Amino acid sequence: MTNKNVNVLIVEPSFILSEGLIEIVGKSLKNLHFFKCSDFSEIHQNNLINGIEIIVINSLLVQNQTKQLNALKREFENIRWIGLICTYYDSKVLELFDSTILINDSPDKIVHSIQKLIEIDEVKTHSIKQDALSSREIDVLKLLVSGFSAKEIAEKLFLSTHTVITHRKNISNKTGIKSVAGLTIYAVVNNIVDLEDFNS
Amino acid sequence: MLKKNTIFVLPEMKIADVALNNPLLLLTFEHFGLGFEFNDKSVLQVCKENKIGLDLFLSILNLFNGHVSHLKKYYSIEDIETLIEFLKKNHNYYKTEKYPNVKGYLTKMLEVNDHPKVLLVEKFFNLYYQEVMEHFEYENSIVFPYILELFKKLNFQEYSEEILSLYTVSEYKEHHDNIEEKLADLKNLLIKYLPIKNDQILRRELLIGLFDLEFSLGVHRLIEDNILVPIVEQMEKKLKVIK
Repeated sequence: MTNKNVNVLIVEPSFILSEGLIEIVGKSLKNLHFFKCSDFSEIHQNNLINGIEIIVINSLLVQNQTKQLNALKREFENIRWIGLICTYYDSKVLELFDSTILINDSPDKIVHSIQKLIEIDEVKTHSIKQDALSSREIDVLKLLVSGFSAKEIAEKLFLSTHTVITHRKNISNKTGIKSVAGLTIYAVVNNIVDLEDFNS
Repeated sequence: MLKKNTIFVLPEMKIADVALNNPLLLLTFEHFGLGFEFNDKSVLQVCKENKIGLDLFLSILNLFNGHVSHLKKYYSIEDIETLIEFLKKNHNYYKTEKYPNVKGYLTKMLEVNDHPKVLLVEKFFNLYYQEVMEHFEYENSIVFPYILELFKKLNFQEYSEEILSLYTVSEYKEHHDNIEEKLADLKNLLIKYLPIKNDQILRRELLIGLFDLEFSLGVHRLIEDNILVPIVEQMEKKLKVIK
């Protein structure tokens, strides 16, 4: 498990259930951020859904809204859905979810259900990761291997230092190379900078 | 980190069986100052005869066997001299055997593949090598002497206040810089980016050497962070070294 932050939206009208769930899961998985709303229709409001990776929703709220749920699933295909099950359900409704939490599940089992989905996500993002550098990343890389600091690069490219640091991180994630010395070799091998510049 | 089919070492096991299960441990035995003639002695017997703390010995063997979860919260302060001797022998092995070995593969590889871009990797390796040696030197000449003085003071032996005043282990934690990063970069460059030219076999040997080194350095670091540092913190607490 990495410590990557994961945003979880809990759609549950009962205060006891939503707070209880946050208490149980939050204790074991410290990297989760919880957001709450009480109805299906609220998911779309206030841009709540942007940046959410996992939605835990009371299956009661979905029962007569399967079409809307399917539409949302298509629109946000990276979101994982967990049904919070409080009573007996038709298995067709349950099939809509990636995972389910039963009201009488033990805390361990609840935590495990969520953890499993996060791990699937990690494997997925890892394998579909694009390795080609963007043109902006190449600009940053050129300056980086010429010995400029993040702050200097930011000034030259009219970016914020924060953005430069993000580019730097992405470059390392894509190439698998973290040190500046290693990135220099990468840049030379891929003809991003000229070999002659470094022999001098 | 996990190595396949390595056993979890227990006190009553025959030490020869432990070695037969994972011959890499022969090196670990060597660094504990043990020879290879174990006959049918158990792990426990060997520890007793050589005055090695059983917990320490088992933990280190099991780390090299790829098991991590068994680490204890505290190890005995009495183990500190054995542990430092062990770590010093580790350093010496890297310096006189492992790195020259890896460097040898690299040199041979560059003889076959002298593409100018590939030659850059030699500079990179030398830079990395220098960093690692500085790190070992720092531990050998500053960290370990400090720890041994602490131990002397704790045992009411003569000690040097000067050495004690120069350092605390919290600095060590901060200083513990990432020498693994460049090693990972090197592997990536060799596997993904550097053009191959007649050097496939040598590159494979070099890479296997690097993976081996990485595993061993990783365990070395785990030992320092999870066994050495907690012992030193216990000693500092006892002596109330607060600066």
